[in-house]
Amino acid sequence: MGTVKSPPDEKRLMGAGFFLDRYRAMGHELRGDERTRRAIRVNTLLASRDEVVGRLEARGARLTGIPWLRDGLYVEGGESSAGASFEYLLGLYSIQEAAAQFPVEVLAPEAGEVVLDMCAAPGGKTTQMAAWMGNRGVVVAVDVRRDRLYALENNLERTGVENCVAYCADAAGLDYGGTLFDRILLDAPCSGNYVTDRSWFNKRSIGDVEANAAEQRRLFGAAVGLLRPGGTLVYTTCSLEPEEDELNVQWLLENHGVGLREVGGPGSPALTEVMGRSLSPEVAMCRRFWPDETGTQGFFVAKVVRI
Amino acid sequence: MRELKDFLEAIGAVYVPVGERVNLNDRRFVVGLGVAAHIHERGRLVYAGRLLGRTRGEFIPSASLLRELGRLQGPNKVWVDDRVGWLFTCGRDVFGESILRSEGEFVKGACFLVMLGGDCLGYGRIGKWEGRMILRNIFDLGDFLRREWATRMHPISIADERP
Repeated sequence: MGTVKSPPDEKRLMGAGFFLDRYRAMGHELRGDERTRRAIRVNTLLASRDEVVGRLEARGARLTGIPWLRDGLYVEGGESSAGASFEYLLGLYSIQEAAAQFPVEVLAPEAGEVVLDMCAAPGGKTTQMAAWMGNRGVVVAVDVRRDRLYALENNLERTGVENCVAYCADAAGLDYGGTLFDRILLDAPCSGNYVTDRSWFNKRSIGDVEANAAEQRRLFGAAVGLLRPGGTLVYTTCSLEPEEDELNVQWLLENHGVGLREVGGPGSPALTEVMGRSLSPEVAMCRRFWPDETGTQGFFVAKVVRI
Repeated sequence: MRELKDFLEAIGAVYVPVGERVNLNDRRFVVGLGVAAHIHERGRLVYAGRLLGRTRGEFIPSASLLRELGRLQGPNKVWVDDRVGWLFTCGRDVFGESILRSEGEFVKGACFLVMLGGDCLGYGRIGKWEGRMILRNIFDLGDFLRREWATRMHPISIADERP
């Protein structure tokens, strides 16, 4: 992810006031201190939902199903933290924020398919895809950052994934041997959001957002070229900024032979009137997670089909 | 793979991994045919299929190999309770008196899987400490947490590792 030097007057284009005003203009009165609930995802490669619930409840934890997720559970209490239990070390579940579990549910990879995870580290969604596929078929996981790939490797080992090959590379430039993928997940490097990063308002500026949007378009365009005709691409960010979300989807519609499909689920339809621009009505099929509505971090999900 | 054979002998297991072998530095993998067909740029490959383990002087099995061996009849095993199991995953050795039951002979140099119910937490080698029998920890699943902490506290410089 590139960072850019801010021009001197850009200091006015950052900070809590600036961003919260932007969200207000998009119809959301956010406080700026919203936080998420701790969520886990059952690893169906190694355990059933009932087994994980039973074992964690026996250790004093309280678990509640997340209605819009197949394998997601909210977790509270318990004798140890969710990341330091036998069940975690045995790979029976992963710690994964609720909104971050949603893109793979939308992608819905199936056993036997060939799937690409373009910005894969630290591997939460990679292991989720392998679980949906029952370890059958292939997940090609790529990330440019070697330091983050160590976490992906640990996650693959811990969760018993056996159908993955992982590369340290720019996903847009790797040699895939001519493969066109059945499904692609582009969980694009993004500006993030304040819900999961308490210092977010102090370190992000509109310049960062624009630099990230440019990088996202480069990857987005490359992803379409790697998708088989009729294949499905899910584009997702954990950014609330329209430049990284709706405006990128609009750019894709204008420059590539693709269509959008309804994402559905929680959250709100994506914006079609944003920053003085009227976007294609199709863009409303994408989904936006506002923290005040979903109780999750900010998130955006688009489902794209190559025509 | 000599190191794997030595480990399996020490643990008393009969096991033949199925699939194409892939070596990446000190790590040993097996991959199915479908997965092997998607290995194109070996120089950028960091993981493939199923990790069997690492060779660091001796063979250190992966969590997935231990999981599979834990389900088999035949390998040497000791069973412990929650408290001893947790201390073991924190890197501690297991004293003989803490072992609830066992399968296999306690002979010098033999290795045993450490089991909590049906789950394998790692393995160790039989030894003595102040005249007491002890199972010296060689590998335990707490290694995942130690690796996570190590990379968080000492972020690895990526400048030289970018492709």
